[in-house]
Amino acid sequence: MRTTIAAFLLAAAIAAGAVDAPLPRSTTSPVAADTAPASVQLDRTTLSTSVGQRFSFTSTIRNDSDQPKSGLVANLNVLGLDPDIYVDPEDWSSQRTIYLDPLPAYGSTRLAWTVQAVNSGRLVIYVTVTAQQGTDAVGASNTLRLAVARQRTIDPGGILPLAVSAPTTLLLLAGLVARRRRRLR
Amino acid sequence: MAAVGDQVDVGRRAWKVVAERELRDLWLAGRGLPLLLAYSVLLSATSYLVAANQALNFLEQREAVSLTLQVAVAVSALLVLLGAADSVSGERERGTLESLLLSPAPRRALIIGKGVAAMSLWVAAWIVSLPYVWYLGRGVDVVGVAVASGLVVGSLLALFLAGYGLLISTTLSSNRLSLSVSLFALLALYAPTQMPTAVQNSGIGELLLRVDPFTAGLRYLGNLIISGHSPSQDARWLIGPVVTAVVTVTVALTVADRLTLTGGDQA
Repeated sequence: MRTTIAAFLLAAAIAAGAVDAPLPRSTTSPVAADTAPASVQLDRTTLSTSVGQRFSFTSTIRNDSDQPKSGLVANLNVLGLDPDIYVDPEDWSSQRTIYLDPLPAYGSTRLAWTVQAVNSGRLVIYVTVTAQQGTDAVGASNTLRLAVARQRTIDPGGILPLAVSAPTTLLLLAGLVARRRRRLR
Repeated sequence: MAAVGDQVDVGRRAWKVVAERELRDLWLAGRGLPLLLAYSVLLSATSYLVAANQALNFLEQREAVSLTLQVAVAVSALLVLLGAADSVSGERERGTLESLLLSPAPRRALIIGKGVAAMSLWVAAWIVSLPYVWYLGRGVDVVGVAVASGLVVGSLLALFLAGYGLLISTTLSSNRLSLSVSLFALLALYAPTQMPTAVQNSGIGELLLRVDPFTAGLRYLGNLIISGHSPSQDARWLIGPVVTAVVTVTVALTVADRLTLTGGDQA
């Protein structure tokens, strides 16, 4: 239900944005990078793994200004590069939002993220940071590009005989018991 | 003095006699096998989907074992609840309780015997689940842990629900009411698993998860099988299941002494 509402709100926001705010002609974002509350850098840029595996990486949030910053919020996001991939970031990590302690001027902090690869294909992970108050800008990290291979750990053909034979055995047993009961009557 | 000794001896033998009769009724003439058949069909479908369905096959093998085991434990506990909730109120509705009450067996012995029969559903269900757990867990060295932890957690949950079902069944006069109340309680016990993650991570949310024997027991299983924790590392998750099992069984046995023909709500 929440997914449906979120999808609806997202669709509404996209539709509204498409009508009210035409896309900028420039390829650079209209929100200037220097207005972002902090810069974010990931410790790795590529990773190959397989579905089901967990992996970790860290992001360094740096306050590039000469003023201390408080109320910073970091968020982890996952997106698929192929249109066929359905990605729900909630499935990838149960903790996607971290509220940071105040950062001193030119100070930095490292955040460790642990995620589980849930979808196969080419995906991208990035971390954004924004402030609770004072700016509308969002700072985004470089991307961590993932190549997630499919993994089939259990042989579906092998379980079929078991999945059929166990109920069949019990069915035969129930039949035998019922037959014996009728005979005794 | 001899009379008291005789009474104790009768009580000791009576629960065995009642248990034997109840077991025979359940497994040779009752719904034990049909329930077990439905249970095995459910386990087969779950295991096959875990192995074959692309949407579920992303699961790491340990998670597949954990999912199947949790389904097995939760549903087998439901079977125990169905058996226990029907045990006394069912006899009342079928008009067979009177003859039981007229027997020299102490009332507590009657309830113990019926409890043993209800618990046999759990034992049988656990045995049926073994090949599924073995198949899914082989190769990742979790079969032993899964089987042992499933036995411990499942036994605690089964004891809790057997005690609860017997308590409800002893108290209520109508079988339908007894089953409804029992199933409603079971649904309520599953409810904390549906709480949003933020609530589950809060202090009160975690307390609720630990107190609820179902969420605590299933969390313990997950921690052992998926995270590879040692059995003692998360033993505190078992406090809820142990306490609720002891309390409900004790209360059920205490209330058993006041077992009446009509039921507490009609008295």
